[in-house]
Amino acid sequence: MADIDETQTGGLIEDWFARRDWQSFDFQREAWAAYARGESGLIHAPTGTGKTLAVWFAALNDWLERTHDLAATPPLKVLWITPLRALAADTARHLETSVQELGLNWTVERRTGDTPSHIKTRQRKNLPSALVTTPESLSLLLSYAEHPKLFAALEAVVVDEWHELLATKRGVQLELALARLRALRPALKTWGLSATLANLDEAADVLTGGRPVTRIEGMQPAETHIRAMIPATIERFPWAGHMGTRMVKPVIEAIASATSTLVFTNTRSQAELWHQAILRARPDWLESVALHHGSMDRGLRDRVEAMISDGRLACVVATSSLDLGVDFSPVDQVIQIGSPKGVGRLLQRAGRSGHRPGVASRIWCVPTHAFELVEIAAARRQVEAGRLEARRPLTGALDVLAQHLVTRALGATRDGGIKPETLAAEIRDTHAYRDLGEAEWQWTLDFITRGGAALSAYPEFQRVAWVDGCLAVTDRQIARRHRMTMGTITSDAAMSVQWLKGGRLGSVEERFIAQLSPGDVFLFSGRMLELVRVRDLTAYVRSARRCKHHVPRWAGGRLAITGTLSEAICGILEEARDGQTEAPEIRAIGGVLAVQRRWSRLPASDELLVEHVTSREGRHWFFYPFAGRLAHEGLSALMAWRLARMRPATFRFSVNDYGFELVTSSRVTFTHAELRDALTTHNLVDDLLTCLNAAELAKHTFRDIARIAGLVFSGYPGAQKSARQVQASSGLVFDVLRRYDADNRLLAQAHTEVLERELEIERIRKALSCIARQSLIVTEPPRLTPLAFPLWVERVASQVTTESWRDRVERMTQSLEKAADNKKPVNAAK
Amino acid sequence: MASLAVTLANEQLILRADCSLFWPTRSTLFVADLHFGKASVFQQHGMALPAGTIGTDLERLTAALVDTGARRLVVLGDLVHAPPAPDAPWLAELALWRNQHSDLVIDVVRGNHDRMLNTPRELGVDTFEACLIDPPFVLCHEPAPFERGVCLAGHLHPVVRLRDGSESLRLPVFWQSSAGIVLPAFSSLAGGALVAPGPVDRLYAVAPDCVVEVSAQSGQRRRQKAPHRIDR
Repeated sequence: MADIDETQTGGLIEDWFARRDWQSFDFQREAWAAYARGESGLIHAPTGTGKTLAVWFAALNDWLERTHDLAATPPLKVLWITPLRALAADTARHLETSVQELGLNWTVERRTGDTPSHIKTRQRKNLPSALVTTPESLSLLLSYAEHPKLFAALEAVVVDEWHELLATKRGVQLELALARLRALRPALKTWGLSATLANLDEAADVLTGGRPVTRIEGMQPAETHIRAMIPATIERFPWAGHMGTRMVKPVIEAIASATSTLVFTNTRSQAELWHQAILRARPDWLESVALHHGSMDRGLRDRVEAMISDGRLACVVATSSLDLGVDFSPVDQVIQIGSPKGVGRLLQRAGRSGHRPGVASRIWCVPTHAFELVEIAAARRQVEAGRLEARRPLTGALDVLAQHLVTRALGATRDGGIKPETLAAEIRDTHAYRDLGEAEWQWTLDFITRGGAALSAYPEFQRVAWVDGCLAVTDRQIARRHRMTMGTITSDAAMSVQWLKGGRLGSVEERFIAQLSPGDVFLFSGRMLELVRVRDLTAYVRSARRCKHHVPRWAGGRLAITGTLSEAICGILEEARDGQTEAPEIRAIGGVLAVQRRWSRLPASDELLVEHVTSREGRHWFFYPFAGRLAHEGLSALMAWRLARMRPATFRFSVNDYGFELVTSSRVTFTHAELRDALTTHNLVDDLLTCLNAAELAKHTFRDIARIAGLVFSGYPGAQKSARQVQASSGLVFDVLRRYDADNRLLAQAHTEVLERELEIERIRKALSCIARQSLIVTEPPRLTPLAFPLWVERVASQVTTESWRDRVERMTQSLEKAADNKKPVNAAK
Repeated sequence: MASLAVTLANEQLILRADCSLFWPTRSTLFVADLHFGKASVFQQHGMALPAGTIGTDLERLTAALVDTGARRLVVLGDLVHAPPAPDAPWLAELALWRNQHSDLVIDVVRGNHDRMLNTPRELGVDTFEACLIDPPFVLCHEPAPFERGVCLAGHLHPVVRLRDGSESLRLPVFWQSSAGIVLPAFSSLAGGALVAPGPVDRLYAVAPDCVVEVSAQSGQRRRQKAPHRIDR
């Protein structure tokens, strides 16, 4: 690293550090030097390690070097992109404080969906020296005619938490906006701040559309300690999700021993249940334990966040809603409930504690069933080895492209519109559309100007008009609606939850409320609520006295375990089989693993274990490819379909992260060779599309695509009546398109997205090629093994009501425990 | 295509799997909620919904007329989605169809979408503002109890959701209550609203090739009153 002399750091900044008795870190000085040379960069390090200051002071330093007037207030120099609105406020405050302390007259403002409209209007005339904003708000700025003037002095764009945006459509939207900014300011510097990823090169490439990027490794935390909270007794037949709350006691002890604790859960319902369970055990904590999840009202969430920052809370139970976000320095302990699901995810959560450079972060993991102990040991192994997941950027999404083209046409309309050639060159300057084919480009142009490629289908279509060979939006109503609906975040139909007397609590999915009758009690936002009535997409509630309740089940929670994690799980199971493992978690579940081994087998990494069990229900086959639940969903449907083609049978199936179960009431059997045949990669895509009723799945994915591409309009406040006339469900649009414009490329995109994202076809393919090299071990255990039991529960759970499956599962657990104690011999056959 | 005969006010009515209802005594075919020109409205607002459904819907209507031999067609409201421009392409298509069925009597009860409609003369239809009394029936758009008879109505676009385990089906229904029968929407561009049947109501689900009575419980959504969101 080059040494930085006094003049380069402007003196002011060195003084600033000196006044605090701080030392600037090597990586920070490295970033300042690279910035001063006009380079773009990517800094990767965990949150809270001074990445912000590294780039921010680089920009200030560069300006100090070149300005003639230290007291000047420059026009927009730095654009700061953050993925979360909540982060924007914190970042703006952070930047502003340092500007004031340096005695500069830079202005710092933010612009997000929450910014009042009079400020937004003022900003459209004059932007501050530094603007903190979101990808959506940036795109929106590009839709205004004055945007070239606003960005005329822009020096740098900083993308915070780039890893969060990278693999999403929001990331693609940002790529497009950045390409526009580069077209306006060719010397623009782009700096990304990211957590560590396996594919940092790719992340850098996407950030600048392939221009050179200086990669800087930030401060790494001293260590990350991952420890499991091991229960005193371990059920040998645990079932997903319910062992958790038995761990309340040790969790409460841990909370009591720390100053401030974040408890992370994997789903919103789990967060509600844990919040409730903690308060039931410690009613005296009412004031110091809070809940935080994405469905809660924004104001409530903001208050909770402020209270954590101030150190006024002893504990917050949260979902991924707090994975990112403001600096919570008082937090000194993190607890993860349930499977970590991914290595990077666990590290990110662990990083929310000990938020100081050089201080170890600690995380307690609380298993909700016995096998999660294996996952915890696996996650620790990967963290120690530095093996993290990659996040793959998306390419070629035509829905996002269509939206951006309309935005650009709209932004250019006052000046006579934009030539398609100019636009094509600009969008091909992104990673996402670098390889966009001419046919796709032409189709998207047709889509926004004529409705689609089929001329006859859209005789009255108008959206983007051709004006002298340029694209422009001439209809004011269309312009207005486009601006109202921009963005790529889509949500399910949500129903607002409000007190009868006024005051909003948050929102739940409409489907959940539809299952309730007035008078029913449910748990939401940490309170027992009684449903009073439902009107106009609002559920009115009051406090409930009774405590028998429902917990809203939100869609989602379908997160699959990552490949990096499942690799380590397989490795650990193999070592456990060979008696080689030292991890305390594995010792703790030795009993469970012993039963698994005695009744069936602990698979080695070159084996695919298949368990065949006969019960009153019929014949069950349990397969354990360890490929994650999404891939298993595809695999189970594929296997059922292929096997049923060999012998007529109807299969039902269930999946989890480790494997899947097929069950049939027919008395069929399959030979080794037949099972092998069904596990081939041959004809994979065609077979999958046939057996999965791909049209139905695609229809579901099409919801988001339709909204992003502007095919459906969900209305906006204050215009409900007139908006209603142009409302149609995306399902209907999907059907009509299939019939009257079957070549519509958005339909094809829906199919691709189903395969790649819902079913993780790459993982299915990888799993099957892996299986092709493995030996197939079929065992016939006397009854359900510890690996099989959670799968059985999963299937039963989807069949009968909550009350009775709970009873049934508990009864079943008892009878299996007894059988395990009897140590009967087993007939495991290879 | 299997139809289903029901008796209402001592009259036999045929519920058809194309979402129309036939009254043999008067040789009258009823349809509700055609929403002609819906795709156009979307297109004018910049949303690329393909046209073409009007052709399909007119073919379905022709087939129903041929099949029943009906001499009169009653549209129970919402003939159009919005008042058309005089040169709207679909209007020409509709006029051509009318020309091919010149002997047919067409009565249109105005629905909420037809309020501003100036019916072009070449369509040769009679429109009625509130309702049309055709004993023992009251023909209207929005269903309501009438003293002068039981109603045949539309407006609600009733659908029912049938479930079996993880399988779920959404089908249009004829919804019979003490007030009368609500027809499902005829338009292939219509969404639907789940019905909220009372305990004595009867539901006749329209499958692609038949009409089947389903238990009112299966479609029941535990809500206080019928939802009135219909255009989704």
